Amino acid sequence: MEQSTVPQPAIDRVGPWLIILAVLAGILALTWDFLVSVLTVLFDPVFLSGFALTMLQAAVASTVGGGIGVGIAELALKSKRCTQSTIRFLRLGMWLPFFVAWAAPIWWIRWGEVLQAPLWAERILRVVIAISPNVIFAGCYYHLSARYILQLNQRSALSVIASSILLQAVLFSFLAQVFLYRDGWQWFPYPGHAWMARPVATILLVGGFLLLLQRITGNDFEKTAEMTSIATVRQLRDSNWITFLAAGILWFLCFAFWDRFYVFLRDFFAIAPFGW
Amino acid sequence: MIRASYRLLTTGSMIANMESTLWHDVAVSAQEITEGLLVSGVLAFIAVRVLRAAAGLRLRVSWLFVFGNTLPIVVAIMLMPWLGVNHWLRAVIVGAVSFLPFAQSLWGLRDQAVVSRILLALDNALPYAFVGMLFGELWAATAGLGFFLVVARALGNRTEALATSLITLGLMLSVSFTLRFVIRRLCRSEIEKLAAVTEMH
Repeated sequence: MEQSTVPQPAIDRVGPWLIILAVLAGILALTWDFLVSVLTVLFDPVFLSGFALTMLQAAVASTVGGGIGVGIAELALKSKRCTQSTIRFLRLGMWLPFFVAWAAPIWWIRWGEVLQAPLWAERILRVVIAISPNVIFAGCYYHLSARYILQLNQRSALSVIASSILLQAVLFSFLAQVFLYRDGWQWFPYPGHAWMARPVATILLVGGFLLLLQRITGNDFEKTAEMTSIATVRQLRDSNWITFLAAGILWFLCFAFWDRFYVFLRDFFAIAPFGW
Repeated sequence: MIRASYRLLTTGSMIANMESTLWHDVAVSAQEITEGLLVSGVLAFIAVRVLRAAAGLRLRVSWLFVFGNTLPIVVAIMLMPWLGVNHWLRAVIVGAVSFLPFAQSLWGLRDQAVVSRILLALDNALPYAFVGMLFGELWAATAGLGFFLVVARALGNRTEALATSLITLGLMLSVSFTLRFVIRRLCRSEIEKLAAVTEMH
């Protein structure tokens, strides 16, 4: 076949690009004010430090709580019965500390003034203390799921457990900011001009962080979905009356612990909703 | 605390102007959770359908992971001007928080029968739906378990606040227990087959 030697007019190639550029310019002109507001928020040192503190709180809680949780899980793995019962209990039991913390959030630490801890350390500790029990339970559950139910080796399990724990910690640390008022990261919309700028900036920052986490651990949606489903199905198959009773005992022990230490916790952490 | 929980459900609260029993709040929260799970279920179904259709085009689905459970909360809050401060906003918050676990279960069990898929996905998304309900009612509500909890805490009645959280947890446990019971009754053979297949892999 003979190829055409007639050169195409340049306008044919440039034309669509000009239209796209014109549309983009139109969108940019219409949203210019909003984009400037988002950029202003993104370069606001207070907003950025709030984000950094939130992620730091999640990272510290994941390291400390996750470490303890994995340690407990390793002990539970020594007995098959114990492992099955703990998994059955933790499936919903890992949310127990969240419900307790939600009912009694920590706004300031009573001993913070006595120790004269710097403000940033107190801000981190407040959230870390509140979410750590949850992260411990979650760490224990994810470790048992990965090692016992999914039979993953130590190396493969590590990335799965780490990303699951960190995601959970980010969620709780993020929610806890609402209770910290002016000391927390104010990611929520603000009344006034361009009040959507803060949430959009939050999506960009947290989305970037989660994308980075995904790239480092290599756990994407598909992989996590497959593992969660396999774990759910195997859990259902393995559950019996013995694990049910044992999980019931663990629930009872947790409630007893809650009842016994409630007064101590209440006195240890002062709750002052309108004190600031 | 157990005594306070019993009192809240039988004779009512000791907080002034909120003396009625907690059953109305339980009903409001249950309605929001149901609506929220419906929202997340529909969205998750659409997402899984699109992803299955897009699999032929070798589109990757990993970007969904970036949403996590955290970002949908922000998106839901951003819808406030359009939805208004009503139970639909709270339902959307519940749906937003529970979307990812719902979608994960639907995707992971995509070769199973629809009933077992939905029931297992509901069971996996349930705790997140409760978290969403508590957060949504903290944000904008005039009734519900989360709202009562916030009021009790703000007025310094910590025992009733903790008792309410105990009741909320009890509600979650009973719904999950019922769901699991139904799953075992309806899909026993399917679950055993699937578990055996996954073990072979």
